[in-house]
Amino acid sequence: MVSASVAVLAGLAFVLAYMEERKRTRVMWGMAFILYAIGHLINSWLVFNEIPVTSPLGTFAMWVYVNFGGTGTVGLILFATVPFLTKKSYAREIITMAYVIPYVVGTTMFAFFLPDNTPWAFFNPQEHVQVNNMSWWVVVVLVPFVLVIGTVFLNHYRVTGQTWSVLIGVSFVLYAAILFIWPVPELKWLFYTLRTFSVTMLGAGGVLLAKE
Amino acid sequence: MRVECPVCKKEKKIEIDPTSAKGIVCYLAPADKVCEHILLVFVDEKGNIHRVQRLDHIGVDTAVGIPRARGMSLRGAMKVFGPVFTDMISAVLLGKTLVLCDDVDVAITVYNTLARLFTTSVSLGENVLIIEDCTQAPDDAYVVNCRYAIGRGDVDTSAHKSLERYLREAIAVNDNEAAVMFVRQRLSGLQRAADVVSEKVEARINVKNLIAMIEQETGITFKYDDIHAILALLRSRGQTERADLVQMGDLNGF
Repeated sequence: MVSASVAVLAGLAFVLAYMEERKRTRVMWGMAFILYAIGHLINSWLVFNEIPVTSPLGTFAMWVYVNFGGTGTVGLILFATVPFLTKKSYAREIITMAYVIPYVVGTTMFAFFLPDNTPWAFFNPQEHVQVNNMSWWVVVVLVPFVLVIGTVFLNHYRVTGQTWSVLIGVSFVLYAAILFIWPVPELKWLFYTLRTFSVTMLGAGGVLLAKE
Repeated sequence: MRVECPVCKKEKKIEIDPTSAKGIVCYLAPADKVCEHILLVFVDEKGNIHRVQRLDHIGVDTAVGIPRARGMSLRGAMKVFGPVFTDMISAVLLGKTLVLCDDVDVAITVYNTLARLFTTSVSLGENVLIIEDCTQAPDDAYVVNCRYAIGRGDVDTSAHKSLERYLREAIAVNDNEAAVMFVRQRLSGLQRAADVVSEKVEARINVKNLIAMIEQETGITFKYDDIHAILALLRSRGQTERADLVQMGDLNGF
């Protein structure tokens, strides 16, 4: 709940940045983190109601959660940010789809169609059940894209020295690092603590961006 | 031509050359034995006087030549013209011809405001024209219909973010003189910074290092957006290659 609330605030920071300067990118980032917060609220609902993630309802709710927080958020961020990196036609659409299609198809297949012991779940050090297979697929797809986004912002900081870009950049790099502990139930507390911290950095970046 | 002083009502003579006039031109009537006031006289190409006003802030013995008559306040100009006022400042800053037309009275007032912001780089008849008929404006000019506060023509918006910030910060002070001085300082700072870039930058440089270098050379603090204005200034001076040496960052405009 705390993580979701902070994500809402981060989203609102980018909406504030949009209000300061009507750039579509900013409102898309705002929407992205509000979607992320919705995903986390679904996760909170699972935890509060003690619904096991391995049950059909639990797995379905987790699938909805990772697709709000993953497809929606990072998809929107890629869609909004790629035009800054290349002006080539359809680059935005191609790169966004290169992320969204494997993510949605993979999470859907692992959650509902592929069996627990599928050989496709090669990157799953935990017990091979559908929801774990899906969670580790999320990590596999998310980490490179999140790292790239973080690197872009850190590089922008290197060139310009603008503080908002280092805050957003570090937030994404930290997110990429801690994603490896997200599927581990015993380390969920650590993940959400660090994630709340990184989303706070992101929101602070949005506020500074609005003040630029 | 005989002109009546609006202060002491005495008449003084000025010499004008209507053949060289383009639209409305401002003439300076210095103090003399008849009238101790320095006057600005706005005359059109037919020799009609549109306005006579006292030149403020310059004493009788001061060397003159730069009109500093009062225009409207900055807050007033922003209220009357809105974003068009930023366009006008940008046009003058970047050396584009600015035409003020239709309502000549308003045009003269706006010119006076601009002349106070750009003490040396704005000149009536050269980079600012005042004409009655807007359709007579040159094709490549930025044309402002002063009756309706409507701007027409292309103006480089690269400097707008900085200019809007200067104006916003200036009018936050409830003192028009201070506001004018503040904007004038900032505009001069941009021009000084452009000179520094022109003199010092010879190889590719990122914007972070460029800001540090300009601040060290000028002693003035600059923000990232100011660099857009400085590079636009360089381009307007024909130094596009020099401006292109500056690396702005992938997320420029984020």
